[in-house]
Amino acid sequence: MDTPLLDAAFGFLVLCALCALFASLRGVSGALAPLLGVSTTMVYFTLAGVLGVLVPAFWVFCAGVLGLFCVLLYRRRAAALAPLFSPGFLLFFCTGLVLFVYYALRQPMFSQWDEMSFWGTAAKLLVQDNALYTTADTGYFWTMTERPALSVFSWFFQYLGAGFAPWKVYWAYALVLLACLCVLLHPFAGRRWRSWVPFAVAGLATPFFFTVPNHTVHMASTWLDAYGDLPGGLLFGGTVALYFMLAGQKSPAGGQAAGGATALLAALPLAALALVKDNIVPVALVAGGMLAVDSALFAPRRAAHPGGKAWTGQGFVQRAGSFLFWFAVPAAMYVLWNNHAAWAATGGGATNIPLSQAVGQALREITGRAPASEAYLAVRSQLWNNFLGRTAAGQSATFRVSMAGTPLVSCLFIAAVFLAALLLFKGRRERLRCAAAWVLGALGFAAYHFMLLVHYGFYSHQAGEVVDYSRYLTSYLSGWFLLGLGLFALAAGGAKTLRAVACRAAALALAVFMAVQCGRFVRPGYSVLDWPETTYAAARKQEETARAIAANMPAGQRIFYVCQGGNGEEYFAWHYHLLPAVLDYSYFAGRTFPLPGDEYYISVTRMNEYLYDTGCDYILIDALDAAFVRYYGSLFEDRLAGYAGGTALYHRGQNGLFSPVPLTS
Amino acid sequence: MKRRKPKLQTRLLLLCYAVFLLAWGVGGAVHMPGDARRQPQALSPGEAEMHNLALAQDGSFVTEGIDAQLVFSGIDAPVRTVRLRAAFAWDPGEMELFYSRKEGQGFSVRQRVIGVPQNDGSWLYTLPAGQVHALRLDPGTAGGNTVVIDELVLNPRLPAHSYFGLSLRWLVTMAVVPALACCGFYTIIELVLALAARRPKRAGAGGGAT
Repeated sequence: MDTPLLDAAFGFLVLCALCALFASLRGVSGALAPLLGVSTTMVYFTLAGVLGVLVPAFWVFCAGVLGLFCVLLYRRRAAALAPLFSPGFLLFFCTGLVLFVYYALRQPMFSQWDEMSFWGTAAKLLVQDNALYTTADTGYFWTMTERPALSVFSWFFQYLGAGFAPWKVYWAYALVLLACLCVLLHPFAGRRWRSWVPFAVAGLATPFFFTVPNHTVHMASTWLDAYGDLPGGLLFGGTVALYFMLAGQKSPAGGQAAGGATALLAALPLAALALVKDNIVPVALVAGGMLAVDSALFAPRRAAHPGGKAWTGQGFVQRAGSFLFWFAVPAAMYVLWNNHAAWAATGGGATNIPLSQAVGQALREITGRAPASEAYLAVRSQLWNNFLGRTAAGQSATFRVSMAGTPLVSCLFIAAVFLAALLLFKGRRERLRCAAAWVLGALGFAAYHFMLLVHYGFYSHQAGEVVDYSRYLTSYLSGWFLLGLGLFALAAGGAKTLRAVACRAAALALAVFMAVQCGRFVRPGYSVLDWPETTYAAARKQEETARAIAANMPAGQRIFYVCQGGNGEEYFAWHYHLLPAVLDYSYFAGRTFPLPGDEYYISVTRMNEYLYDTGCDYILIDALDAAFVRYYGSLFEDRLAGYAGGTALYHRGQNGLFSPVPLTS
Repeated sequence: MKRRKPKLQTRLLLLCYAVFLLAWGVGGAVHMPGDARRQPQALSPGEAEMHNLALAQDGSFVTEGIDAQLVFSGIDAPVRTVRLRAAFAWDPGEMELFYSRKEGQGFSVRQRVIGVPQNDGSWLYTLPAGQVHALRLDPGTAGGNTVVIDELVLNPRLPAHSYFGLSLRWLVTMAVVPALACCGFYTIIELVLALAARRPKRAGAGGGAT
């Protein structure tokens, strides 16, 4: 093993201590503590990163948490640790530990597109600079302004150690997923295992269920990718489920109902949710909306004085206040990050017009006030077809988004879970809340599609194309499902006698269905459970080569990249692996250089000027073609005659020409 | 009654786990004597019928389209496992092996197995026990992929530990299946008992026949 384990182990210890602190609060059980602990860490370090004080904040955080934990131990002795022995926390801790050992032994690596272009690179830059990647020198011509919550969370586990390990990033993400899933076990604290095992199984099957819609043909990256889509989705479900667990329900020990004040803790995961990913911000607003509506309509209120009504006067003010509060939390996080991104950004983005203008245009075309553009019509029809499961108009239903089936069938499956919860709840108020949650979820789903319509049809520079639809849908559906399952768990937790048995039977049926589907769809050798060593062989070799190159690179040197026939993926992979050495964007990021006469043709003189201006005294070549040799060969001492294919490194000598250097010293 | 139940529950759970472990152990070991008797048999790609594959000069194949096939006929021997060592230009995706039992019987989706990628880069196919007349190997799902077949062996000698496939997948299945099975038994028992407990109430309310 390259890098030590102690940094991650220490981080895990501090996280568990933080969970114990949360679990000591009235009404918060061991099952809710991981999500509160994880989201607090994410929000705290995001704020610290924005203020530019990550390292001092780390020490303050660890000292503070461990100090308070010692105080708690001193005051309550063994009772301080008792909530940690509930099924929810044990599931989080034991699965986290198993994955820690497993990932440390097998050391998976980044290998997919966006892991190289953003997520993995961001995590590596954080560990390298101990500062937010928004201010790092990346070689890109844009500033990386994607939201940092997941990246800073993984930094927390790597700050103390030397070097950077992708497996620790995967493990940090796994902790986020587990923290959301453990919320399901809150109603079963102190209950026998038969009550909660089906929910644990259904919960653990959820990530695969919503990310592997067809049987695996290639490696399924669930639990092994650094994309923010699945954590964002599960955080959505986990946040709202956590709120419902805390607000107005009897605590598991059967005592007083957890008051409104404890429900305010849901602001922590809600804030984290708004800081996960750009396209998750609308989802955070939907979550905020759900909490706002529920707290305004359903949360029990004590009247200001005997005989006072709960809807007028102070009751109304309280309701209005909490309604606004739940919208304010994600909005505040949105504004906070946007301000920081605006401050840090120096280059242009990928869009032409501001978002508000795109939204305005979309609304006008939808309502018919403006003539519908081709892009809008194409996107609208494709989104509708995709939702119904058709890949294009008229084709049979082949587009699946989850193990349940097409988007429409997946929504029906989720509705069935909500319906089961609704039927199994006892009181009218609980049933209304459950129904309201589903209705708001459906409205949110429609709003999410509106956002996708704006993005694909008006905002994206690829207007008219619908790409990555299943990934964006996974976020919303997995969260909506987790919320439904959470409500179902609440109903099961509060049920007695025959109703309880019915709950258990229904939960068992769901768990068996999901487990069987996972077993059928996730084939041996193609997932986190048993991937072969050859899966990451190429990535390991590339990292070894890159490390040798970077080790011999003087500080401040940049490398220019050439890969004729590439599509950009090779560029981002080298860029990630070569850090801390900087791989310049190199005009086209590894795509083919245009020929003379093309709009973007670059003369050899201009190329040479660029190489001097940017300080690129090294050129890394992955693939050449005759055109490149012909138009740019004069930059090289041997005119590239000695290039024998594969990866080659060239260095500018005293005579100004580039000559080959060995890749490894 | 309530005090006895937890003990019964624990015993039932342990029984479920024991049965499952036993089934896994027996299920793995049962193949060992048979495999030891069968001799490994190497197949040469040159003997095969090619469909949607072009043979290059250096002996490698290039797939043309998504349905490339190599068909080996006249095997007529019991085959339980097949190992393929091959190198591909890029990730070929799912590796399918179709088998037919009798002459004249075509290949169908019902008689197909998927290759499991192994740590050494090879694929292992496990067929249901029986006589095999012909095999159809589909080298991946991508067109334009270059395939170099190093080795194709029927009934290869497998290391002892591979019969018992220890992996995280095994651990998860081992943890989940017996627990769900035990939950299932208990839920059925509870459902029956709960429904039975309700009946006397209805009989009493109805004014009872006795």
